[in-house]
Amino acid sequence: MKGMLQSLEAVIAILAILTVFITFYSGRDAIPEFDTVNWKARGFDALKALDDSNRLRDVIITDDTSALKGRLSSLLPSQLNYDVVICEKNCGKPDIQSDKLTSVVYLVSGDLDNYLPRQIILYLW
Amino acid sequence: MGKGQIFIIISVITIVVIVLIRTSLNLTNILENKRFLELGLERVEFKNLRSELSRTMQVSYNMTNISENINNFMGFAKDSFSSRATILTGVGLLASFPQVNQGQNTRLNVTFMNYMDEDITSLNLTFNNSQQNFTSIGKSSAFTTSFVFATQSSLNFSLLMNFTTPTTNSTENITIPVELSTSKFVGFFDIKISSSRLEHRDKFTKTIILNSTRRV
Repeated sequence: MKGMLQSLEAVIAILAILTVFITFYSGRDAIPEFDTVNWKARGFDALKALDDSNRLRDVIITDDTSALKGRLSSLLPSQLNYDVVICEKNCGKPDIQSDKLTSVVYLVSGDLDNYLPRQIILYLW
Repeated sequence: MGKGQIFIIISVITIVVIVLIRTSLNLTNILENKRFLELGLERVEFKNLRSELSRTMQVSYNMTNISENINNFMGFAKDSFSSRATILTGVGLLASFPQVNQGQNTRLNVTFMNYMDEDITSLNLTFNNSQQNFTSIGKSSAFTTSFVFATQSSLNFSLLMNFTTPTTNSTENITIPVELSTSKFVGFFDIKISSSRLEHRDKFTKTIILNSTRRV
C-alpha cells in the first residue's frame, strides 16, 4: 500500500512538471530566429565595405562573380556559406539546399562614366 | 518524510525553476530587438537606393541622356524592391540647362517622372513667372517640358511644383542654382518604400555641373 502511494506521488510529480513545461514552452511562443537577420546585416555590411573601398564596382562592370566571392571571403565569417549573383533583371536563384537561407540585395547604378544598373544578390546560409 | 513526498517537493522546486527561466526570457524584448534589426536593414537598403540615384547622375554626367538613365534606374529599382515584397513609389523632377551667358535667353529643360501607384490628376510648374499646367499623368510615366530664363548674374531660381492625386496634394519649392558660364543638371526626388514592417520616405536634391568634372 505504501509502495503504491509512493508511486502515485511520483506520477503526480512527473505530471506536474510535464504540465508546467508544456504550458510554458509550447510552440506558440517560440523564441525568434536571429541567425538569418544577423547574416543579412553582415552580408550588407561586407558589400558596403567593399564599395566604400572601391573594390566592388570594377568586378560588377566585368560581371566577375568569382572575384567578388574572393573579396567577400575576408569580410564574412568563415563558418558562413555564401554565393553571389550579379544581374539586372530576372535574376536566377542558385540551387542551395539549406534549412536556413537568407539573401541581401545591393543596388549599383554603374561606375565612373558607365551607367550599368545591377543587383548584387548575396545568398547566405 | 517518505520518498513520494520528496518527489513532490523536487517537482515543486523544478516547476519554480521552469517558471523563473521562462519569465526571465522577455519575449517582447527579444521580438522588439529582432524587429529593430530588420528595420535597420530596410533603412540601409533605402540609403543604398538613395545614393545610387545620385550616382546615376554622376556616372551619366557626360552623356546626353541623364534623364533617361534616371528614369531607367527608377524602373530597375522599383522591380528590385518589388521582388522583395517592398513597394517603391515616388516622383522625380529633373531640370537641366546649357551654359548660361549673361543676359541671353537660356532654356531650362524639365522632366517629370511619376512613379507613384496612382495617376496624377493635375500638375502645376511655375518658374521665372511662367506657369504650366498638366493633367492626367499616368503611373510610371514621364514627360519633358521647358522654360526660358535670362539673368545678368549668378542667381538661385525657384521652380515651384504642385501636384494632386486622388489621395494627396504636394507642393515643393526646388532651387535651381544658375551660375554664369555653367551648365547644370538638378535632380529632385521624393521617394518612399513601403513594406509590411516599414514605411520610409525621403526628399532630396542633387546638382551636378555638366561642363566640368567638379561636382556640387
